[in-house]
Amino acid sequence: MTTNWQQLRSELNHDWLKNVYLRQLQAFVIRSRSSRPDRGRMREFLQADFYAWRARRPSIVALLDDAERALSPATLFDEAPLSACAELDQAWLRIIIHELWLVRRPVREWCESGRRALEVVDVRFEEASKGIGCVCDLDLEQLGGRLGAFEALSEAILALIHRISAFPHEIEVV
Amino acid sequence: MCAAREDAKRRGSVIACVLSSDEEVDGLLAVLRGAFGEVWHSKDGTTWFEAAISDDSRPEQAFDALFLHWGDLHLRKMAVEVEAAAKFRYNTVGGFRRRNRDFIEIYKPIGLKVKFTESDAREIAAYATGVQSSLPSCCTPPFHDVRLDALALLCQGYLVAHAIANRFDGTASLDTGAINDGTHADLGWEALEQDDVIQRLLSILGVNTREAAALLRERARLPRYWEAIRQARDPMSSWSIKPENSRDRERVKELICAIGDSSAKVTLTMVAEAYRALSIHLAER
Repeated sequence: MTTNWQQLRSELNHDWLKNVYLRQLQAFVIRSRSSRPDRGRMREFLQADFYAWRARRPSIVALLDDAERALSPATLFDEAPLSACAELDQAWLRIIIHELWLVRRPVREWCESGRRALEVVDVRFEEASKGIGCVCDLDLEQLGGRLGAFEALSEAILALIHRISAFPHEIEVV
Repeated sequence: MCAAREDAKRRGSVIACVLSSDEEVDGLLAVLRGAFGEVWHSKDGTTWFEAAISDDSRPEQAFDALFLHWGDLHLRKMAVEVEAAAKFRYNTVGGFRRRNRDFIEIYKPIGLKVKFTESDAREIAAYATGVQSSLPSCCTPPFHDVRLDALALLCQGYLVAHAIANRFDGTASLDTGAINDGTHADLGWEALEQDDVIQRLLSILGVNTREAAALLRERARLPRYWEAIRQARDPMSSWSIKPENSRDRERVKELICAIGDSSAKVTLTMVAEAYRALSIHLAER
């Protein structure tokens, strides 16, 4: 079953974070190391793309916050055939099914490690942004000394991508 | 034109192209190569590659089928402009929130995990060349059969309702021994030892602990408890018959028959054994 959560994860984690943002960041580092760096493309990244992390971050936080609810087998009571169960039975079954599932699957740990990975990205992002200075006056020499911060950000993003990818791809009932 | 291309043309090759900047595109390319004579790939919509063709020049004629990785926003416009008899879009989930008039959706995940098979690719090739008139089966929204999932969850509830009795009656521990013997699977019983879980259950049931034990068992034994399964037509239809799982299949079928006849025929052992069989089947699915 393809839920909204799975689609959101795909759009945010696979399509944007991995295939767009991380790639742009890695391309920036490669360009910075080049003997003839493309200043225009580098400036474009720092002006238009780099800060996209701040805009997308709340959606990633929401994705992690919603994972436990969205992946729980208790959500199957929202649709047929289990929606035909008596209201009282649905109420106690939802609690029991969800709690048993939490014991079988360390979902809260997965969410926590996702949040920790996100915090690391936040820290690395702020560290990397410190060295940017005035974009219109791109100081390649100064930037060269700070490339480690951008590489550390890439690594942190990769770790976050792995954490978000590790959530199940469908609702698991057993 | 290089020799390989001339050869492909002579064979009347069906030509596919993939627009994707995704690193995980190799799985899809491999599947497509089993069904198409040529499979071109471009990461940016301008430079094209074909593994079997050395000159890497884009074919002069239109493609038969185009596959667009929907996550590549920058390639969508290019994909509309590329000439192809049929255009398909895919993603890692196998589902889309909205329809799109320019592309046909592939409802199978294609990414690190490729559920799209060579048989799907052959159907697409047949459709794109007019050999098949109906939409390929992977392009119709899937009917996800949750009837067995539903049965497994009701079994869990039934087993818990019986096992929890001792806990609510005030005895020291949760008696899951008999049920564990039958299920051979750990349902996650520790959850029921947590006071906050018990308190939430009592609050919903609106009774004290002593009454709750009787009430839960009573609810699980009512004919209405299994109504969702009784209403579902042929819940076993998605379970293909194989010699190695015939015994498990029988166990589940026995429970479904008992539910259909009368819930009074449903026994704890029957539910425990059916759940064990279901948990193996659903975990392998």
